[in-house]
Amino acid sequence: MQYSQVDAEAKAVARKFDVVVLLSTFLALIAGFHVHQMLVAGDWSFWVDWKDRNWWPIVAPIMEITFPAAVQAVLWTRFRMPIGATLCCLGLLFGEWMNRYINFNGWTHYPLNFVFPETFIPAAVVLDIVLMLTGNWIVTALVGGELWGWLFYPTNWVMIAPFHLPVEYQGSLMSVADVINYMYVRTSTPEYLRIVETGTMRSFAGGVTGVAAFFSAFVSVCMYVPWWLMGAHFFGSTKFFKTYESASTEVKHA
Amino acid sequence: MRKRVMRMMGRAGALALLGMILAGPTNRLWALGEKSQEGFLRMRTVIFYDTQFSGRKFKVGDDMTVTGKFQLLPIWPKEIAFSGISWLNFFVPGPQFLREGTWINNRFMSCSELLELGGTYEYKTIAKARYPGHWPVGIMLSMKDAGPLIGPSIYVDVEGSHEGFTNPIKTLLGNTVNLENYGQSRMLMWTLVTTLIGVAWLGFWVGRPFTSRLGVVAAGRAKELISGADKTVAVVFALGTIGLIVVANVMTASQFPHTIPIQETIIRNAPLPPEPSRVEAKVLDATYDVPSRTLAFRVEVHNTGDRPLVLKEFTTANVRFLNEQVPGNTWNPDFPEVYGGAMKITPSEPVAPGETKVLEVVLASAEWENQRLTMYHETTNRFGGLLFFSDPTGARSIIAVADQLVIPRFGVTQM
Repeated sequence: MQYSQVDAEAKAVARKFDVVVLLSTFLALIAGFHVHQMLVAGDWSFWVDWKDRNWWPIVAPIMEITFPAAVQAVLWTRFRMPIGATLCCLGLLFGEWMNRYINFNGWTHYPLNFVFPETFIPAAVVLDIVLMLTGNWIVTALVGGELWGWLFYPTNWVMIAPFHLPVEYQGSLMSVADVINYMYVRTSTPEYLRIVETGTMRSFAGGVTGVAAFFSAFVSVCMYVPWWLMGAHFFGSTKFFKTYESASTEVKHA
Repeated sequence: MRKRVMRMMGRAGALALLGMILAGPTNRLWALGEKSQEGFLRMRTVIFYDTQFSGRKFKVGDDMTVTGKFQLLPIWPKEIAFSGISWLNFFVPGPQFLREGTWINNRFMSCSELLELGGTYEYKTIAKARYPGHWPVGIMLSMKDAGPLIGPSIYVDVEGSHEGFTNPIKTLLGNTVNLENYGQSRMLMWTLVTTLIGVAWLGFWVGRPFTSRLGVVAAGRAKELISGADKTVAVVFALGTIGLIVVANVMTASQFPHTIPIQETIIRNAPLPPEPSRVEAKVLDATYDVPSRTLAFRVEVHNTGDRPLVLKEFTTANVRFLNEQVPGNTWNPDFPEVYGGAMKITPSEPVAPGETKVLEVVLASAEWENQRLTMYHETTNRFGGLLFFSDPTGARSIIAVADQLVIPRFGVTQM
């Protein structure tokens, strides 16, 4: 057998192994990140009438910079791959769409325009690029975390703007999103349970979205740090493995 | 070998079962779960009465009207918070019906309402059939901090097809939109565009060897893995992504110049004015006989009106007991509540004007057990409900029993 043939086979096997590793990681991230997201910010993602300009841009980015930071830490420090945040957010979006399409729409007949998920992918790509260009996780936390918070609402406003058109319904002023919530019965979530803006930020002259995005960006910076550290020093750690030299003779012979 | 075959068959069976469950029709529901709530919660918080559903068979697109009244009992259980902030829910397993509107005391309920303790409210809900199937539907009062308080429910059959169903509404900008799919193609397109950015970025990197980079990084040669060209591509990606969002927002602002935030407020809704009462009634004591499933209580009644009165009905937790000695006061299968059975009242003669007498009311019914209303299992052994008195003209006087202690009788001597 020629050396080049062996080399080609080795490369092919390595590539297959790459696919297995990447696919497994992707599937694990879909499960883990999606469950996390549903538990900490689920309703804002599930329902169009929760996608307000105050709480949604605060809660969603803060709670969802977590996994991207940790996965970035592993993939950057161990593989020099600037794809951690993008991989996470693509996985999250895939999981969300499976859930919304099969469960919410297929089984219970909620229209997709009521239950579509938000997207973090543009912010995730930017977060990955900031890490790649700076090569420094603290700068990434400061700059990337800020951009993460600031980009969230404008990214999603493109999709939700039509649902904020005003409607006079039965003599009441409602947004299209409010009417959808009213008509497409959601028995387990009465109206008062919605955590949406209630006019408590009027001292900012109605500039709710900017204040929310600023606060969200600031806390996203803060959230990035512990999750990066957790990723780098726990998930990405190899200290739990013994080196070949420290293995017993029996193991070496085996 | 046999074990292996059995195991394989078991797995195949489980998979087939799972497949059938997943692929099975979702147009039928067999249980509602209202009985899972504790008895004291259902008997002593909100009592629904006069509930009427406009039918039990509908076609897709038909309207169903539900009307009735409810009273928030004046002595609310200490164990349950009373905030008054309420939302009169129409319960149905998913949006198989569209709620077109709910009115409380003739006022449209656009948001949560502040209701008063002891108040009686009249409501109407109109819902449009949307999906064919056999659905349980009903009324429920959700109260902040207290949770769902369930009213009467029925099963309805909806025939027809959802295909072609539309739900048009007119916006204040003059255009009519179909809420079944409004904004959907825009949302899908933007999701696709932004996802493609992510996929392209991911593809740019995972097209290279992946796991072997672990060794290169471990060998301290990480810098070799990212080239200047990579950085140029990254800058293009970042600027392009941010630029796309800016452009899309500018376009969105020009397409939708008039938008409003999600509307959120609470409206106070005063209860109905109290009806003139011709009776004063007070429950003196109550027992629950466990072997015979019988609630018995003595009630002191004083007729303050000028006509004789009879006790016609006791309603609690959506279970109705009727005094069938009163002519015409019999059970109608169209009633959405549960039929508890006949009330036995001693003495059975009407209470004369100005008279005060003690009535013994006996309610023997398996429904105490069926509906899980046997309170001796619970930490608070009290019952509540509404007593309906009536005079010969049919005028009603309703008395709330809100907090009466019940002594259980077990019928055996325990060691």
